Amino acid sequence: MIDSARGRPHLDTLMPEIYEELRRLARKAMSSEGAGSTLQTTALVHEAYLRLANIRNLDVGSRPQFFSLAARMMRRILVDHARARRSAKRGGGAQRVTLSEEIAGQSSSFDLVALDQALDRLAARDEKLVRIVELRFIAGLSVEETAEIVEVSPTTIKRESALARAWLFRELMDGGADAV
Amino acid sequence: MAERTPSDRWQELKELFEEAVETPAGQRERVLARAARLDGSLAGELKSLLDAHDREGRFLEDIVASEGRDLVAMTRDGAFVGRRVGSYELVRQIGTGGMGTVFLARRTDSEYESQVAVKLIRPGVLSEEALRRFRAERQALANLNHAGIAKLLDGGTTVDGLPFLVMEYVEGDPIDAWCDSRGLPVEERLALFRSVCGAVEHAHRHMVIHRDLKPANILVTASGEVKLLDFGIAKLLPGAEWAEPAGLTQTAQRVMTPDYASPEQILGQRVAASSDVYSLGVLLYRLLAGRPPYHFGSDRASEIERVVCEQEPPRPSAVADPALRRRLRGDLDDVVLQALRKEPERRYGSVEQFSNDIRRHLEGLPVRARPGTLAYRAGKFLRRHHIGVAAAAVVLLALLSGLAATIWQARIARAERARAEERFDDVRRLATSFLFEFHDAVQDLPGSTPARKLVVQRALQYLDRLAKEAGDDTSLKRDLASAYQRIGDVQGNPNNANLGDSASALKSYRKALSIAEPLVLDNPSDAQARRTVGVIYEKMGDVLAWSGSIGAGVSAARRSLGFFEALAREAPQDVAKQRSLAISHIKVGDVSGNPSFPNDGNPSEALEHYRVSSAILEDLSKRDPADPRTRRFLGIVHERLGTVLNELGETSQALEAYRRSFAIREALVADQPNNTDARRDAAIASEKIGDVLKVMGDPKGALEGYSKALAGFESLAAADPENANASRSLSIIQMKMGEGLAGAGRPDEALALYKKALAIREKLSASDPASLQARRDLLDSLAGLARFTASTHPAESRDYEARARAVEKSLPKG
Repeated sequence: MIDSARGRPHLDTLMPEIYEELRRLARKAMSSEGAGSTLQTTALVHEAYLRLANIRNLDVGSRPQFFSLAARMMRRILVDHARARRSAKRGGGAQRVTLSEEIAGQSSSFDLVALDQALDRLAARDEKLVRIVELRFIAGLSVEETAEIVEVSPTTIKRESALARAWLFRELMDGGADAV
Repeated sequence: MAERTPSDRWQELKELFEEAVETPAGQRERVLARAARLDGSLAGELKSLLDAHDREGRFLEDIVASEGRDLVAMTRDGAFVGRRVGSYELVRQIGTGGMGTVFLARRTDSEYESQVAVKLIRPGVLSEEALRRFRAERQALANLNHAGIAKLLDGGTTVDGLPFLVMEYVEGDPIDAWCDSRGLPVEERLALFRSVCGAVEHAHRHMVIHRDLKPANILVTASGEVKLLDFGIAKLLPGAEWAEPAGLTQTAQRVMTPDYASPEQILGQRVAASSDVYSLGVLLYRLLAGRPPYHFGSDRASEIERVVCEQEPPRPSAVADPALRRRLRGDLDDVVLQALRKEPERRYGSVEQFSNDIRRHLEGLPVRARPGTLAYRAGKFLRRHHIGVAAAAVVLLALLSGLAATIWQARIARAERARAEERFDDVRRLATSFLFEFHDAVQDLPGSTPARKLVVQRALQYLDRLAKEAGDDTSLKRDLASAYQRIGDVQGNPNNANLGDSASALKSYRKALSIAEPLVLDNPSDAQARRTVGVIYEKMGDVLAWSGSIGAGVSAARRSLGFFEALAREAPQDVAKQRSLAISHIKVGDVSGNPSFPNDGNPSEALEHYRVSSAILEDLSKRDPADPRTRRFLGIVHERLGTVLNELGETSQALEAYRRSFAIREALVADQPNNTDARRDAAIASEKIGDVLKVMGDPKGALEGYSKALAGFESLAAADPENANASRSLSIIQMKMGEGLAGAGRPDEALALYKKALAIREKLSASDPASLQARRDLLDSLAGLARFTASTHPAESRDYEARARAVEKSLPKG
C-alpha cells in the first residue's frame, strides 16, 4: 500500500526509520507539551528530515520524496494510535462510543480510521490527490511546500485539495467506513 | 462515441468540479446541465461532491488535530505511572473519562497499605473549562457524605501544575454487568436500583447533579454495595452559594454517553435534577429490559439528537426477555416511561418520587406513573365499580375538586413548594388533557350528555383558575389557549361531537384568543403560538358559519389562513406546515361558496381557494407520493372542486374532478384495505360521479357510478353493522341505484333495492325513535315504494301509503 518510490529506491529502505524517528520525536515533543496541546506534525516532519538527512547523508534531490514518505508515515502513526484506542474500547465489553469523543471533533464514523480507509479508496482513483492530502493536511505543509514536492503549481494544489476534501467528506458522511 | 474508461470519467468529473467550484453559486446549474448531457450519473456525482464541498468545513483538520491531541494526552498519561502525585504513588491506569485519567494509587507516607483512586485532569481540549469544572467538583464533592457515593479524600495540583482528585478506590462491577452476571431477579434489581436512587437523592439535596449517570459510573462491590463514582461533570444547582461558572452549561452536554443523556443535555439546554431522573430511567430500563431504550443508527450528533429527542422508546416489556414480559407489563413499564419522558416537567418531580413509586409497586400499591395519572386512577375505579358513566364522572370530579382545593393552598407554603408544583402540574394535566380524554371516551355512549356537560363545566373552572396563575409562563399559556379552544370544540363545533352550544363555544374561543394573541405579539417568532392562533380562528370560523354569521365566519377563516400562509412561507420544506396551509385554503373555500356548507354564496372564490390548495397538495405529493395524509387531502380537495364546479355549471370539469378524487381514494384503499375512511370516501366519490353523469344525461354511466358506490357502502355497513351513519349511507345509495335501475327498465331489481333500503330505515328509526331524520328517511322510502308499486302491486302500494301516512303524522308540521 505504500507507493513505490520510483527512481529512488534507496529511500524506501528508510521507511521504518522515518516511522521510528517521527514517533521518537513525537514522544519527546509530547512529554514537554503543555495542557491542551496538539501534535505539531509539521515540526515533526521537518525535524525528522533534518536529522535523517544529516545521518543518512541524503541529497537535496531526495527531499520531495522524503516528505511524501514522512507524511505517509505520519498518517500511519495517527492511524495506529486510533486503532489502538478503538481496540482498547472494544476490549472493555460492548461499550458504546460516547459523545465525549465527539468533543474532540469526531464521532466514530468521523475518525482517523475511517479517514484512512477513505483515503485508500481515493487512492484507487487518484493517487496524487491522496499525496496532496497527506502532505497538506496530515503533515501540515503549506500550499507552496506541497506544490514543490508534488511538482505542480500552487493553484493546482488548491483546486485538487478542494476536490479531495469534498470527495472524502462525502465518503465519511455516507458512512462508507465500518461504523462501530 | 468511444467507450469511456473509469479514468476518463474521473478526469471529466475533476474538470467539471473544478469549473463548478469557480463558478458563482447561482450559475452552477449550467455546469450540472452539461454534466447531465454527458452522463446522468456523472451529474449526480458532481452534485453530491459540490454539496460536500459546501458543507465540509474543517472536518479534515479537526480529525487530524483531535487524533493528535489524543495521542499527546495518552502519551503523557502513560508517562505518569510510577510518578508521585502529592503523597500518592500512581500504580496503574484504571480508566479514562471525559475529563481525565484515573489511576490506582497508594499512599506513600503511611504505615498501612491504602489504595486510592487518583484522577488527573487530562491536559485536553477544554483545559480552561475543565479546570473550572474541577474546582466546582472538588467543592461539591467535599459536601457529599453518603455510603453510596465514592468519597473524595484529597485534592491538589501536581508539581507541574496538573489538578488532581484523590477518591475512595472502589472495586466493583458496573451495575448492569453485576445484575446480569448474577442473574438477579426483578425484585432484587429494583431494590438495588432504589439504593442508587438513595445516593443520587443525597447528592441532589446537596445541590449536586450527577449529570453522567451510567453503569460505568455506578459500581456494585462484591458485597452488593452500590457506589456512585465520578461526579465528573457535576454542576451546582442554582441557589447554591457558589455561582455556576459561566460556560459550563454550554459544553458539559457533550461529555455524555448518548445512551444515558437526557434530551435537554443532548440539546445543550439547562440541566436540572430532572436530567438525573431521566438517566436513572434509562438505567432502570437497561436493568429490566436487558438493553438500552434506544438504538442509534449512527454515532452522528444529528442521529443521536433525533433518537433521544423525538423517538418514543418501546415499553420495556415489549423488548425484554419473553419470560419477564408479563412481570414488566403495566406498572413497571409505566414507571420507567414516566422517568423517560422527553419533557423534564412530565417526568417524576424528583428522584425520591421515582424511587417511591418503585417502592409502591414492590408493596403492591398502585403506582403514580401512568399516561395521565388521574385517568389511571379513574380507570381502576371504574373497573372495580361497574357504575354508570354519568355517575362515575360525578364521583371522579368530586375526587378531583378535593384535590384541586388543596393545591391552591399548598402552593402558598414555600416548604411544600415542590409538592405543590407537582400538584399544580396535575391540575394542568387535568384541565388541559385528561378531561378531554375522559370526554372523548364517553361521548359515544348513549346518555352521556349530562356527564359531558359536567366535564366541560369543570374543565372551564380549572382553566379559569390556571389562567389566573399563569403569570408569564409561556408554555402554560400556550397549553391554556389550546385547552380553551378544545373546550370550544366540545361545546359547539359542528365538525366534531359537540354539545350544540355555539354561543359558549365562541366565548371559549375568544378566551383562547385573549391568551394566545398576546403571546404572538410578545414574540412574533413563536411559531407554536401563531399556529395556535391560526387554529382558534379556523374553529371560530366553523362555529360562526354554522350558527348563521356567515360574514364573520368567512373573515375568521381568512384570518386563520393568514397565519398558516405566513407559517408555510417561512418553512417551505416543512411538509406539515404546507399541508396545514392547504387545509386552511379548503376551509376558506368551504365557507366562501361550497353549497354543502353554510357559505357566502361565492363559488368562484371557493374554486380559487380549492385550486391553490390542490396545487400545494400536488406539490407535496410529488415530494412524497406515498404520504397517506397528502393523498387523503388531495382526495378531499378534488371532491370539493367537483362540488363547486358542478355548482358553477361546469359539469364536465366537475366530473373530471370527481374522477380524480375517486382515483386517489381508490389507490389509497388498495394500499390500505383496512382504512375504512378511505373506503367511505371512495364510495362517496363514485356516488358523486353517478350524480353528475345523471345530470349530464348519461344514465348508463350514472348507474355504473352508483353500483361502485353501492358495493363500497355495502361492505362498510357489513363491517360495522352498529354504525348508523354507514347504514344510512347504504340506504341512500340503494335508493339512487333503484331509481337508476327503474329508469333502465329493470323494475324487479329496482324494487328489491327499494325494499332493502326500507328495511334499513325501519331498523334505524326503531333504534333511535327520537331521531326526526330517521323518520323522514323512513317516510321517503315508504312514499317512494307506494308510488313505484302503484301500477304493478296495488294492494302492496296501499299498504305502503297507509304506513307513510302514519309516519308523516308523527312528524312535526312543516
